[in-house]
Amino acid sequence: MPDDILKDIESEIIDSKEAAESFRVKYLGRKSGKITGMLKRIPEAPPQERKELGRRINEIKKQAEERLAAFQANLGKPDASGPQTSIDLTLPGRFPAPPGSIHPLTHTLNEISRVFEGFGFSIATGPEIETEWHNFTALNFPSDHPARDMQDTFFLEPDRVLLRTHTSPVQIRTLLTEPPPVRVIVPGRVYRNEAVSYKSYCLFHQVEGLYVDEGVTFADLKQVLRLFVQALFGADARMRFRPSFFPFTEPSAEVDIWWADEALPGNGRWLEILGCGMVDPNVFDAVDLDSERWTGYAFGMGIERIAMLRYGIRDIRTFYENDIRFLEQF
Amino acid sequence: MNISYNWLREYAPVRETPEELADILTMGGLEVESIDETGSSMDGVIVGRVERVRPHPNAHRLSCCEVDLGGPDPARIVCGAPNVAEGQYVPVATPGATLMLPDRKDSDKRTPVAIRKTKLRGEPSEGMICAEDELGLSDNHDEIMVLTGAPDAEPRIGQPFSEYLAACGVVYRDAVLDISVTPNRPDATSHLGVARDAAALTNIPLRLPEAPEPKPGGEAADLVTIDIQAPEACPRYVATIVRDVTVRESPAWLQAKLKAIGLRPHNHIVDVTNYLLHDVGQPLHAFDFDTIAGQHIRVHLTQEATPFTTLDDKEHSIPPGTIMISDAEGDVAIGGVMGGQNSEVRETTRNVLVESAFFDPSHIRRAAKALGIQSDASYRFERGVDPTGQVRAAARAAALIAELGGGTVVPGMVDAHPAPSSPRHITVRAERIDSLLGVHIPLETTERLLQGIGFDIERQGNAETTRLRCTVPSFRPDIEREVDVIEEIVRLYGYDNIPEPVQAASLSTGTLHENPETRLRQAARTLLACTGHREIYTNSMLRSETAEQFARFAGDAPDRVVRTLNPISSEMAALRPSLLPGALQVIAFNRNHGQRSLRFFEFGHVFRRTNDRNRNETAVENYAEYESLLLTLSGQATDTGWNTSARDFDLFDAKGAVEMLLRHVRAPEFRMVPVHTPVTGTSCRLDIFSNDVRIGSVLEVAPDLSGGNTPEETVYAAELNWTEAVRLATPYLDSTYRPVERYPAVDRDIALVVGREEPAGAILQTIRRAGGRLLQQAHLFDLYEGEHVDPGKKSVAFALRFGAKRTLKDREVNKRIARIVHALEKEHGAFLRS
Repeated sequence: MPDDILKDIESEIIDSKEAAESFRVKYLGRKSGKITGMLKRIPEAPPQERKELGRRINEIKKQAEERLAAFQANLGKPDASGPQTSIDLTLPGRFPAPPGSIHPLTHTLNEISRVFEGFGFSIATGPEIETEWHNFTALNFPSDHPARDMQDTFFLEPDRVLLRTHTSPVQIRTLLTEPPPVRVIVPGRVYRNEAVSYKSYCLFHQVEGLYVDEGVTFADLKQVLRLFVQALFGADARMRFRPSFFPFTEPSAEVDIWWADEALPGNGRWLEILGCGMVDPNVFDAVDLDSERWTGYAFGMGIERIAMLRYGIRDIRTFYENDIRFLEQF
Repeated sequence: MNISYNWLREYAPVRETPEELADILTMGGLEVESIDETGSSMDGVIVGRVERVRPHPNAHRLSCCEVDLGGPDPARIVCGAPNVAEGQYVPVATPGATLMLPDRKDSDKRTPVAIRKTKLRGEPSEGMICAEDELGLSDNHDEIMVLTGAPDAEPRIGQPFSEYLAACGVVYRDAVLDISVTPNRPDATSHLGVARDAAALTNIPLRLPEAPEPKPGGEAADLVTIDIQAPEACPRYVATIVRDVTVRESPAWLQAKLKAIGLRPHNHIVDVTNYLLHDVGQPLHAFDFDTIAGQHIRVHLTQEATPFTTLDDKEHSIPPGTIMISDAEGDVAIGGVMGGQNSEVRETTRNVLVESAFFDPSHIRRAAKALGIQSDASYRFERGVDPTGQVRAAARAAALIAELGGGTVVPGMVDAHPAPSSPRHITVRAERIDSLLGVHIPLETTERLLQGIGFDIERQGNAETTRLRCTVPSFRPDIEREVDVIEEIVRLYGYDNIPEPVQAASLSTGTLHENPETRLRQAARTLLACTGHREIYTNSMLRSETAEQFARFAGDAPDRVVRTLNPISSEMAALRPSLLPGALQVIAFNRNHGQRSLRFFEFGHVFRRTNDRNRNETAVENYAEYESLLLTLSGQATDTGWNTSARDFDLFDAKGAVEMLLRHVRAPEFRMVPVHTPVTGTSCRLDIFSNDVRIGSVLEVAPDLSGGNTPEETVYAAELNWTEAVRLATPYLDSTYRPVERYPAVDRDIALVVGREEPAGAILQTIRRAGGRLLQQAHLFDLYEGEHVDPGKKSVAFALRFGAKRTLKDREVNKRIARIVHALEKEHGAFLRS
């Protein structure tokens, strides 16, 4: 019994004056203190054990008194640990560095790249100053195609050098230097001679994709883009492939996703997010590949457009203004 | 391009609603961008019989009517029409109905008005007896509509008015589909063309319009001669003539058709040519035949710039090489683009020549672009009209002009250069369809789909190697190859019907080829963002003068600046030789918006003209571009805190940031060398070398470039040739672990006094050299001038750490320190500070 009390005394926590007082009452109180009670019961023990019992109980009593004394001794000392500290812990912490940020276009590009890298695509890049041959001719644009006009394209030298209007010329550069199978995505900046407004800027960014191998089919294209759309817009994203036209793919399609918006009739609308198709045989001819042996698909999308959708940005110029109050949100 | 639903249904009587049809067309390759519903719904409009009419007690032009609508009591309605009379069956808009009422001044403008019970001049009115214009049936507002019925369509009291109209065969609603036609679909620029797709996609037969088939020659050929002098630009020119015609307003049905697709009716002759253009896609031009001098039409290309006034009274200078239509005396029309004022049809016109030609698409495209005229005609010629459609269109136009204007069609016609268009044949391999699409489409389906859009198909070969010999319809000049036919098959079959592969076999891959550029760029971005920098994207185009200024600054001659031939504005006439001008703008912008601490970075291409053939930078001859990384710092480096003090940025922040970055990406052996010769645009500058290749610089931007003049506005920058830095760092990307030393290191500090001009960098170099391999680290921890240091001198202190693969003895370290001190004395005149 005395041993149990000793354990109890050791395990009591005395961290406040209130705790100290209840400790004192519990063990040393004159009326109901446990130690006091034991001392009172000594006469009930067999006479030969009384002396030893008395000695043990007094030891315990001493222990209890020491604990109380130890607490009282620490009271009022400034270096007391725990709640007794005098440091104002509510003062603000020091940042290792002020907050920085990564541009939303980079975030969006990274998300797109990550998905395709997971599918086994590597990243390829190309120059922004491009030849007309790479940008148009090799991609099967007819010689009098409107896009070749000065009204749509920035030229550096007439009929020869221009600022690329899409990332597709990197398809040509890749196919000329790497034998198939080729599986790349091409992020990059492209230029269009368009009036600057909330919805168009004189330059923007694209991600191009290209897969060329034996036996690549339109069904494969549908699959990779569905997986992409679900990765980026969620597993329940609704999408559709709509026939379209591009000089360098055939058949060609545009991919729309359903954008829910309760304010619209029909509770939403289809938004075009990318163009795609099977690599046109004329493109294979331009890079000297046998279009009977190789087939492939290509796709391309605008990063700004996807970033605007994802973040709810209405004015494309916001991306190039670089207002810190805009940048700090990403 | 606007397509009227009702008009389309004349050729393809689809059962689908406009919305359903729009969806089908969109998914078949004709994207419907919007649907505009026209006409009233007729909801709440019912047939009633006028039982009683009495004059309005308070208004002499109004009548009070009682109209039986089939309810227990007749409705009391006040009516203002003069023709209202007892016993008439009339359409009544009942309370709750909404009518699209026309504007009195402009009947094309309509606003919705809800019909309510009301009082007119004190008399109750429980609805409205309607005139035709109020129901959107015509522009007639003179009188209320009296329903006289038709065989099998007697009006009944209480009958929904829409039911009555349907019984009479009156079409009162329409929907206009705005279709965005891709360049490969010249056939889809007319109602007939879109109807053909609609019929094929919904699997119903197409009804073709009927057309007379005049034979070439006849009296028409006696009246006019046609001379094509540029057959490559105009392979075919058909003319029909209508005589003794009276120019009139078009009948309601024709006006309604044109209005439905957004065209304004002119007179019946012009209207007929417009109608046929939108009906079958063949542009037509009507000349006042009496203005055609010599009764002779000559088609030729202009040799030199020629002045000409088009029928919209605009004067143009026609560039050389443009197709012109001339008579015996002069030019009368720009072929395929627009007619001339001198020969246009007027109210007084009696005799009309209808031109129906085939003009070469590229000639028209050039002319339309050069003249800045985009007409309905040029739009279609540019894409390529059906080379066999000229006679049918001209004959229909002549017949209709005569019918509506009381004239007679001159028998015969002129068909100059009747190009015997030989149909194109393409052989399609059945197995190629499946192998390209990744789905098996039954041959019967393929044949049905192609036949639906006008192909003739002949099956050849045997079961293993089936071939489809396809005869391409004349209105599809875009279809030239097997793959073009496959595209037609799959768009009609439906992209949605192509199942995805069961296995994602096409996604399997070997190792991931992560390119070093991307990997290091990502690492750098993360590091910079985590150390307080914000990433920016700036315009690559800037003023030429600015570009020249920054080219000099980058060490290039101003003539190295790359300029575009056709800038949007002078603000964007050149390509950036450096990322700095863009960042300076961003700094100024944010400073103007109250930001005080500015740390930015940008990755982007920079450009210059060059004669070198540096293969790393030149992809296109005469031009060089590489990816650059720019850091800029300006304003407050640290803010005042509760126990920190504010400090502005200085050059060493930029220097430290770039050093941290270069270490992070493991750029090898880099050093930063002060540039003592002044460089335009910089107040002071260090060049960064790695493996002895210059890869960038750290600098303070001169106030005249940055616009700043106070310390807190000074801009510090570090620009790196990222392409080059990555190339140098790539071999070190994959590092191998070196075991850490388990032996204790020995730390010693030394304090020196040297001449104040002595650069710290050189002293450090000497320490490292003299310290040899035992010296593991040397760190400058104090720099001091002033009290206790002689004038002209400074005190520098270094913390040195020595170590080896064994425990160093004090003696060894002391010896090494002595060597260092000796070298410093000798080379820098330094002595130990006591």
